[in-house]
Amino acid sequence: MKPAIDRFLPLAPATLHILLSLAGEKMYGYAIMQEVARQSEGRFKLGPGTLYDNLQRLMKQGLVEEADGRAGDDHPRRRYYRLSGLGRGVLTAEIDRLRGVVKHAQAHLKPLRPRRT
Amino acid sequence: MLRWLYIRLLRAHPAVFRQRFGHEMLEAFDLSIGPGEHWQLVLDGMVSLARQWILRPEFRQPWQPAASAPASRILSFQQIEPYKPHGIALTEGGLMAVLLIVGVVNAINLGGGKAAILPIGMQRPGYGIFKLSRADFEGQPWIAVDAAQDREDPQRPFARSYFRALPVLAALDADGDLTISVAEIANAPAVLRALDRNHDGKLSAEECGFLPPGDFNGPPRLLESYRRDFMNSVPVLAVLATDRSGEISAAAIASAAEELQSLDLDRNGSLSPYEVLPHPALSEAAGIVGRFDIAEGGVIPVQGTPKEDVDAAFMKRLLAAADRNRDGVVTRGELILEMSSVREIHRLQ
Repeated sequence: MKPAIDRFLPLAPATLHILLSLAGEKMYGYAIMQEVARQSEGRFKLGPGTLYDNLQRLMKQGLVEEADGRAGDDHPRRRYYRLSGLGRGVLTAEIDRLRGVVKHAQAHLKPLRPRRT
Repeated sequence: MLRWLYIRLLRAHPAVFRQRFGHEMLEAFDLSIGPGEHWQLVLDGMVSLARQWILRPEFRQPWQPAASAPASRILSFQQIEPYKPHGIALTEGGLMAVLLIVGVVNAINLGGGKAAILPIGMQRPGYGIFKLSRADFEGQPWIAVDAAQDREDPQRPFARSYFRALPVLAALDADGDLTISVAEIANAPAVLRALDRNHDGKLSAEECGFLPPGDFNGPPRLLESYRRDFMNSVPVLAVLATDRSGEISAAAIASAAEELQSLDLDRNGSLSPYEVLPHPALSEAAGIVGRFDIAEGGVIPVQGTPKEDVDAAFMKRLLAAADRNRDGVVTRGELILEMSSVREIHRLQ
């Protein structure tokens, strides 16, 4: 399983944000865009073109799958998406990788911090 | 307006992507607020359009999700959503196709004169994509293409009947190909001598094919003029019957090859049907003889043109040129030859 996950790493920023948005619950497209903006505190805005291009690729790769979760008042063509088992594993692996990067960066950047005089 | 533009952008996406995500992208557009955000989405749509067509060829095939193990051991079925284009979309598409065709047709019709706006169409002279002018071809070698090589000469059926009707032509054209070849021209004296039935060394009009009217009771002089007219009406005979008698003399028979070559207007050595068939020059020559042959001798003196005639200067030059044997008189045959030459020169110019 591990080699299958490693071939997806590292994740592109848009992919990472989309997978992170879907980590909690299933969502439809516009909600994913909103969630990405919220997570990044407005610094990363995902347009529909970029979002659905990524969703198309992620579903093809099997990281995201369509979920049946339409509510009664939803638009009839609205679709919900969620992380697949493989997607969750890839996201976890990416977070671990980033954690290692951050730890490594903290260790190396500590001496370079400017000293207070 | 922006929504309309965004819908057009979505419709321009590859079909598989559009059918799968088009409605969701439009929903995202509708849920976003403010013209600034809408403009951003339009730009995002443009980028997406380029990305899908240029960078995502693998996704133009019908979309298939990756095979994944079912969450439970219960059999799962995937429902394929049937897609049918909307009637309005079909109507719009048809209308746009008609407008496009009308536009292209108009562009072709008007393009010749409006290169800056419509760079196609060359119906009317004007500026076009290719700036060519007649001057560009000056000095270029011309290539003549004979497209009508295989087509039968329209004069040929008439020539066939004509050659059969006239014993002289039938005899000269030994191989029957309606062309008197170089060899046949060279053999002309022997052929003509063979036609001399009375062995007087000359060929009369009757020996050349003239048939006098059976019940003719007129004066002999009139019959003589008929004979001369007959001899002058056939170019091959007219060019040989150069003396006043209207017959082909022994001397003319001996020099028949040289005389016949004078009919070779295209200088290819042989006589084609065009060169031996009756020519409009015959009637012109007959008109001139009738007008200036005052003595009714069948010939016109070169210097005998009345000075008061309105065409005196022209006629003097014409008769001087037509008098090929320089005997001071022009026979009808010589006149026919000269008129044929003049006509041919005009035709070639």
